[in-house]
Amino acid sequence: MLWFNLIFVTMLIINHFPPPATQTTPASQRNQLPRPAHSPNGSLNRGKICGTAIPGWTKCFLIVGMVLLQTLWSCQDETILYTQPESKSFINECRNFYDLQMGETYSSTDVKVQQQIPKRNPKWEHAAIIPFSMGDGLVAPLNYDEYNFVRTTINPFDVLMEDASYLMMYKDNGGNMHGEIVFLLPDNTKPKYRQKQEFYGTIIVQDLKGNIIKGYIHHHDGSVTGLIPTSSGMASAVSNLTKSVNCYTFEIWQIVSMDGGQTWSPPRLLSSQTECFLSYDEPCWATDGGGGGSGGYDDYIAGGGGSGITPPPPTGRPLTITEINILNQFKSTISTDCATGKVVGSVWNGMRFAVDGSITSPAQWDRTTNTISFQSSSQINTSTLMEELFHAYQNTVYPGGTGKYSKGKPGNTNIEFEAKLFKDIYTANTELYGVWIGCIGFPYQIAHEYIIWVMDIAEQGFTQAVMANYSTMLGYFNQYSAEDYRGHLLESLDTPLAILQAQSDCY
Amino acid sequence: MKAMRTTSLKHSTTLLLVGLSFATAASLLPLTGRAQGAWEANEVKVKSKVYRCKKDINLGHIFIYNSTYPENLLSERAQYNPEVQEFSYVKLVSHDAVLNAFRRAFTAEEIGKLAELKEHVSFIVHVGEGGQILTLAFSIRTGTTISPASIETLENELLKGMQFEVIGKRFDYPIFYTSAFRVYFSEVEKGELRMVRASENLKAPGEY
Repeated sequence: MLWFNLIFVTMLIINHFPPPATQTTPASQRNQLPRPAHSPNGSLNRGKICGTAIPGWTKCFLIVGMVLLQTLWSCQDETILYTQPESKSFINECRNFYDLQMGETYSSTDVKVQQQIPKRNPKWEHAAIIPFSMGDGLVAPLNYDEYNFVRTTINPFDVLMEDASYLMMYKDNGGNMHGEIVFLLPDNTKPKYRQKQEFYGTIIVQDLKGNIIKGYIHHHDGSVTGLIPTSSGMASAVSNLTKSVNCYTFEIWQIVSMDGGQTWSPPRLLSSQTECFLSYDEPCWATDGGGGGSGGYDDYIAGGGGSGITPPPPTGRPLTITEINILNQFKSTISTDCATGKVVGSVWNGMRFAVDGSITSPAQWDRTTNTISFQSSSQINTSTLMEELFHAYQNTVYPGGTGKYSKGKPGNTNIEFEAKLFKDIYTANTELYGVWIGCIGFPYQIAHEYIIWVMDIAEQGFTQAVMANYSTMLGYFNQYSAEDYRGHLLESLDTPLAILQAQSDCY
Repeated sequence: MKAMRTTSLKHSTTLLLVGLSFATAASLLPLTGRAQGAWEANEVKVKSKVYRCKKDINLGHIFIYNSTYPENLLSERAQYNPEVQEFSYVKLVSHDAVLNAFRRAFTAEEIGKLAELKEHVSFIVHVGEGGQILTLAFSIRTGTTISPASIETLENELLKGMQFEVIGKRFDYPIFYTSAFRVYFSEVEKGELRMVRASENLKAPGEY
């Protein structure tokens, strides 16, 4: 693998620099890797691409990304690529600079700054020196103190930060050191970690303090769109080339395991940045080097670090913008109801949503990741949303959570019945998406009694009279509902604690 | 003299109140007279049908079932289950059809009096895969002034005017949905039935 990397990088370097004046081989036959633009006199068109002030860095990021992933992720147990004394010295210089910068940042008392930057640990021992158009630069893989993942509105998948990001350091023409964190966010298929897969997607570049400074989108046709934050000083340089302005949200989430990966905390949002970008074509990329290059892209999302603990892999996909809009519409709708509004207000923050075709029910709430997954887009409705939100709410109400009442355990029948009853009370109140679910399977007359009982609760709350029938209805549910729910009745749980709490002050 | 006048005024007010109470009671007599005790039996015969009745004294409800529906009508069909099936449901086609059914079954005077008494009628409809009504059952309060004859007329009017349509996934095999409504006579009086309107406004996901 190392040999392949060396050959690959050598080829890249050869193609990166201008060909000798005597060389007659047509560019198209040399190879198809992307190269920086050259001026007519053969010198590098540094800092100027396509007549704009956009630097040759544009392709450097992409080239570096290719090289990094090809070399670093595959040489975890191998040696450093460049071990010449001058390389070591440069790596040390980068390391000192990074430590100094991050030392200041991590010791900052600004909570926002601290939250925005999860503690990263550059793998200096796997750093590589790559020749950029502006001179040599360093790239190093990163690992993080905790299990962090990136979720954006750019790509449809959560991406493990360790897999998706690397450190890049270089000196500018003035000799000033710069450090950047580069995120590779695939958009084609859900990346299978540690497996090679073609990369198409977005590259987001942050400075060391977590501010987004630029980005690139690599399209499936090989073309590249540049992204410049509208707030950036560079925005004016591309304003005449701007195609559109798009805003993206970039979030960093974290989950923590205290028991070696057996169980995981609910995801915690570390930071959320919404940045609007001017997008512009990167024509040079498409014309110089033959349509986006070849070879290295497969490795953008290959490999990855690994802490030895196997975290729960992200399942499903995040919701699309349309689905998010629908979800928010339903959220607004159900929030108008007093009890449901209380549930939503209590559990919505920090809740993740996904569409996951592999689940066996229309929707489910996963306690370990605090995620509501819908089996399909069409299962995003008030009925599913309410029941799953309520399950999350139950977890906060019952002492010690509801984990002990999970499927197949005593109490599961009680918990499930309460959730369905809560949904049905809402139905009785609104008749919106009013599919009665608590009485499915009940004989005709008993179902009738159940519905009338629920209507009474919806009107008056849990009066003594309706409460007197709770055990009876729970008994019917245990007797007639789907097999999955039956047979796990816990007598001590014959009070709908979570509903009572949600309904407090509503009547 | 003054004291005598005061006593006389109090006396007159009491008489007036008593008179009003008698008048109210008397005006309700035709309604209650028809209904009182009418729902006591387990089976109540009306003009064209027999209702089976079940009472829940604790909750104060009488459940009324039309005995003409075959016992196995629902058991021959699958029940729509949103937990295993794609979203599908039934909505009422017309709010006004239900409102008119109530207005035909009860006179304006009766509606007004029942509204005063905060009476309501709940009805549960089982609807087939094509939107057809399979069964219709009622629930009223124990001690109600609503007569069996009024329920019979209401049932006939509802069956005549009420229509459902399937939204979301349509199934091509026998299935049934459960749709339930509670209508207060105060709503009938105002011409706006909350739960009925909500059903009329139902939309399938994606139609928003």
